[in-house]
Amino acid sequence: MIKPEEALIKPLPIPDGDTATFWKGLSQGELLLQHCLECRHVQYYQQGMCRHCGSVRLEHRAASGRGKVYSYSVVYRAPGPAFKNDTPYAVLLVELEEGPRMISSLVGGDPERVTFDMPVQLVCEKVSDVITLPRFKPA
Amino acid sequence: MASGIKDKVVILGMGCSKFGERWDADAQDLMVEAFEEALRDAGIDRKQIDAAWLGTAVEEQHLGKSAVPLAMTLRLPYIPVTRVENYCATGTEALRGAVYAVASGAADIALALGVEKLKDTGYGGLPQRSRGALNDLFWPNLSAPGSFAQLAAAYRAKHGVNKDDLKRAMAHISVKSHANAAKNAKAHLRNQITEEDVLGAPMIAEPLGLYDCCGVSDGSACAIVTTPDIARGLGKKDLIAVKALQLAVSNGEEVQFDRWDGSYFATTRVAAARAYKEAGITRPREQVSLVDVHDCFSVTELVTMEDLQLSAEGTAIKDVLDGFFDADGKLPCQIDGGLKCFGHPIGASGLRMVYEMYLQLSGRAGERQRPAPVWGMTHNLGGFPSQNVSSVTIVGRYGA
Repeated sequence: MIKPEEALIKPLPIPDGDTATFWKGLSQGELLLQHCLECRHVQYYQQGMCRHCGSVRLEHRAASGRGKVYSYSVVYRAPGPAFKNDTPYAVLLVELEEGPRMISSLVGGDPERVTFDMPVQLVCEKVSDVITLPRFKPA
Repeated sequence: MASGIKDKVVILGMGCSKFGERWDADAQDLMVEAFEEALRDAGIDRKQIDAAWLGTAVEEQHLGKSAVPLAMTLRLPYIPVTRVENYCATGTEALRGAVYAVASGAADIALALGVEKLKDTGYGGLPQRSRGALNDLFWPNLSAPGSFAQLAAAYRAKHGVNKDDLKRAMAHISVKSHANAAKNAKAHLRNQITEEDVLGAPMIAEPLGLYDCCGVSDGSACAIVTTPDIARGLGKKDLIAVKALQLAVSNGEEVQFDRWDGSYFATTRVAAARAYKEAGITRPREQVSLVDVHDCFSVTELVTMEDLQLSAEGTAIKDVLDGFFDADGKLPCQIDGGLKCFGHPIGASGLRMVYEMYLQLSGRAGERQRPAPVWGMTHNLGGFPSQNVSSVTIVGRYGA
């Protein structure tokens, strides 16, 4: 369990061996997806091997940043004090143009007007020197 | 399949504390409250217990890690004691340890006790936990209600259900659980509510309003288990036996392959199918007498009815609105109030559900007693729809 004082701070991702390239890409404005050079499977999130065929021959390529809302929910009561001032906010499950679905959240739009299949566009939101978060705005 | 657990282990005694905002009691008091009832029920001395399991999910809340708090609180006689944690299936996981210890012959009499003290965190809802590095990629500030709200959206999309119809069925589920808890002195939330109350309540994560979310509570529950022979030797008659105990855990396929549509629990379907096979149940909808499911949110209960094969796919809304799962229906669900109203002290919840089944099967459920139940089933779901731990337990009369 986290301590009450930690609950006041929004948690940030901790880049590791699998994800460092991904986070570096975002800081340069690119959403990187792993493309398998064996079976052409495209995957999000990053792992050491292809989840379809098991190959380790993976290559990072930048996504177009275009996608549509596969599912969503609007949070009215924050999970903790750090997110209290953000409510209501929309959490999105975005289906990227390249295929994979990724969870993210809406920026720059009315959360109550989000609908299924709504077109969205990537927004890279810098939150620290190391971390830039991938979020989406209405396209 | 292995020969399974059916009829190898029986319940010798059970206990459950009063659930709720227990400012009067710390975690140790709650453990003692449940344990003393179980010990009296079992008719044994605590020194006859050979091994024990402690289930507690949020470890730093009052108790700390390891099994030492249970051994010290109950002054257990230097026996093996193990602490387990498996999200909201923690209580059932403790029971699993005790049951398998007896089935293996490693212990004659074993104890499973679950406890949680959640009301002292300083803010509402569940305490946030550390999530692990990888989870950052698919778990950004989604609250528990937020993630289960997506279950509602996906279910609607799959079955072409109107928003108002789903919300009305969800309301019926919560009204029913409040009515049941009103007859349960140990329940946390005992007030009766109306459909209008539910529909007019503040929104937590659309479409889940205040009354679609279960209580967060303090409480403890426990079971003492043994073999049928030892139970008879202790003078017990009308034994209640474990018929099935199954657990299924997400392996990542739901989130990693984009095939899962988000409208059901892949784990629950697998655990239920295995449990029915283990118990020898072929027609669950007709055979199961009572069920307590993991109703963390009203929509979870609705979807789970289908995952447990109690309603055909796409028909749970109709069954709910028809009163099929009401206290006087064909197959009562949450007869004790469920997580919604009995409350949800995480580590205790799985054992609390079995406690109610045990009371019902023994004819000791008082005002809530159903006529002649045969099979009692319980279900836990820990985690999120996309990645979780699901357990299914079935109990019934020994030999039946």
